[in-house]
Amino acid sequence: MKLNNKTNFGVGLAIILGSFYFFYVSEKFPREISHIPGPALFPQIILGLFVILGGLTIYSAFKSPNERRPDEASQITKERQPVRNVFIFVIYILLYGLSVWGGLFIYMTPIFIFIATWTLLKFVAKPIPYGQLMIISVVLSAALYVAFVRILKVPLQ
Amino acid sequence: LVFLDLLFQLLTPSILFICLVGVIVGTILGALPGLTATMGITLIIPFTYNLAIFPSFALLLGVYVSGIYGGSISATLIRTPGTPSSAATILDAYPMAQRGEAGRAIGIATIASLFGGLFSAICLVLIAPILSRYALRFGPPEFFGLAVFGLTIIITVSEKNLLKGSISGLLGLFFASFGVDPILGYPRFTFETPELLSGINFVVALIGLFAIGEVLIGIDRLGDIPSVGQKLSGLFASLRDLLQNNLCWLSSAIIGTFVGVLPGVGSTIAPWISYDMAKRLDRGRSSFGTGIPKGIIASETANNACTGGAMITMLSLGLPGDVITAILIGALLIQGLRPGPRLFVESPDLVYGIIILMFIANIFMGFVGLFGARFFARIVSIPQYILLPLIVVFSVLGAFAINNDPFDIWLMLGFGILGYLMRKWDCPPAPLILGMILGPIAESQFRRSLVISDGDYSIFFTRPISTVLLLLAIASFAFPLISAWIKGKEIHKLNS
Repeated sequence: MKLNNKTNFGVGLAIILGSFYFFYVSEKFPREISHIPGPALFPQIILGLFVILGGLTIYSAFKSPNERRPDEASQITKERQPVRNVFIFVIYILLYGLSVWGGLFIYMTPIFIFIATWTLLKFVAKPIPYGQLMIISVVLSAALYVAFVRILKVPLQ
Repeated sequence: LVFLDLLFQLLTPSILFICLVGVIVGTILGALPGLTATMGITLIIPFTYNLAIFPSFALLLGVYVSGIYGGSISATLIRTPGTPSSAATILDAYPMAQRGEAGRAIGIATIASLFGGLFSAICLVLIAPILSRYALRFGPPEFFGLAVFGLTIIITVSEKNLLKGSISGLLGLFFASFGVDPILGYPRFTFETPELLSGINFVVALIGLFAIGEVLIGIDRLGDIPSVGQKLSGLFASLRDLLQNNLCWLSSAIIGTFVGVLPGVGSTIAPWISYDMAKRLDRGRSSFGTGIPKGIIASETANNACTGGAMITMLSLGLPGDVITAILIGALLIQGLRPGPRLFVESPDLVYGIIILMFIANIFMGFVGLFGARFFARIVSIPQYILLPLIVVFSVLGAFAINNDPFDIWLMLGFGILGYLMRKWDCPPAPLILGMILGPIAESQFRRSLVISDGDYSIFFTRPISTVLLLLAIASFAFPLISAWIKGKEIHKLNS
C-alpha cells in the first residue's frame, strides 16, 4: 500500500499516541467504587473509540486519492506565506494576552491593533495610510476602554 | 394573569434597550462576511456573566435571531453570504440586486425572516410544553440515549466527513471529562493545575474555537471585499410580493421549524431544503435563480424559522439543536439553570420569559432590518484587516473577564490554534462544542443508569424509549456509511 495522504497519517498517529498517553494517565482513576462505575470508565471508553478512529484515519491515508498533484507544487509555496503570518499572529495574541494580564491594556491595545492591522494590510490591494491607521487604533482602543473598563467594569488596569 | 405579569416584567426600557442592542450587533455581525451569529454570541457571552437571566437572554436572543437574518444583507449586496444560513438567499437576491432592486430584495428577506422567526416562536409556545411534559417520564437511560442520539445526528448531518466529524465530537466528550467527575467528585486530567479542577471552561473553549480560530483562518483568506455599488430603495416590500406567495411562506416556515427541532441539523441545511421544496411546488420553477421573490422567501423564512425550532429541543429536552443553542445552554448554566423538562416545572416563568423574549427579538429584528438596512449596507464593506484585530481584542478581554484569570487567555489561545488546525484539516469544530455540552449529560446519565441496574448494561436496551433512541443513533451513524459503500460499489461497477 502507498501512503497518499501524509496529513491523515500524521493526525491518525497523533490520535493513537495521545489516546495511549491519556489512557495511561486515566489508569490511576478508580474504575469501580463499591459496584458503582468509577471516574475512569467514561474517559477510557472515549479513548478506546479514539484509538479506533485514529486507526481508521491512518487507513484513510493509504486509501484516499493522492494528496498532492504535481501542478499544485507552486501553490503550496504560495500557501506557506499565510501559514507564517498565522504563526506571527499567534505570537501577537500571546504578547497581547500577557500585556492584558500585566495590566497594560490601555497602552498595549492601540499598539496591538496598529501592528496587527499593519501586518494584515500587506495582503490587500488598497492599504490605508499609516496616519489614518494610527488614528483608527487609538479611537477603537478608547472605545474599548470605555466599554470594558467603564461600563462593564472589567478589572483591566 | 401570570403571562401578563411576565410581559410587564419584560417590557421595561432596560430589557428592551438591551434586546435592541443585541439585534443591532447581531445584524452587523451577520452582515459582515466571515463573521457569523455563532461568533457574535461567542464574543458577547462573557459579558452576560454579571447580567440577570432576562437581560442576558434579551441580548443573546437579539444577536441570535438577527445574526441569522443579517447574512441576507451581504448575500444580496456583494454575493457573499454573511452567515452560512444565507447561502441559498444569494440565488435570487443577488440577481435581483443586479437589476437594481437590492432594496426590494432586502425588504423581502426582512419580512420573510420576521415571519419565519415569529412562526417558529409560536410553535415554540405550543410544542415545547407538550414535549417537556412527555420528557418528564424520562429516566437516566433515556437521557443517555437522547444525548448519544443528539451527538450522532450532529456528527453525521453537520458535515460531509463522518470520520472527522466523529473525531471532533469525541474530542468534545473527552474535554468534557476534564476536572472533577460529576458523580464521585474525583479529579481527572487536572495535571495538578488548580484551574482545571472545575474542568475546561466551555465559554473559553468556545471563544478559542469560534473567534480566534476564525481569525486565524481569516488571515489565510484575507482579500479585498467588493464595494456596494447601489443605493437601497423600495425596502418596504410591496403587498403583491407578500401576498402572492402564500404557500411558499407556510411551507418554508414549517420546514424551517421542523429542521430546527432536529438536533444538529440547523439553519445551514433548512434554507436549501425549503428552496428545493418551493421550486417543486411552483409551476414556473425555471424562473428560480433569476431573481424572484419566492426564492428569497423560501430561504430566509426557513433559516429564521430554525431559531424557534432549535429552541424547542433546547428548552424542552435540554439538547442543543445547533451550535448556537449549545451556547445558549451554556448561558443558562452560567445562570445556574439546567435546561430540560424539569425547567418547565421548576421555573416556568423563566422559560416563558425566554419565549416572550424570542418574540420581542424577532419584532425588533424586523424593525431594525427595514429601517436600518441602508446603514448595514455600508457596514458590509468594512475591511477584514480592521475587523480581525478587533475580534482578537474582544476575545482576549472576553476570556479574561470570565474569571479575571490569565489561564483562560492561554486556554483560549490553545483552543484557537486547535480550531485553526481542525479547519485546515476539514474537521468541523461544531461537534466538539456539542460534545462538550452533551458530555457531562451523557456521562452522568450513563453512570446513573448503571447504578440503577447494578452494573447491568442491558438497562439501555430493555426500556423502550432508550432502546429506540440508541437504535436511531446507530442508524443515523450507519446510514451515511452504507450509502457511501453502495455508491462506491456502483462507481466500481461503472468503471469495470
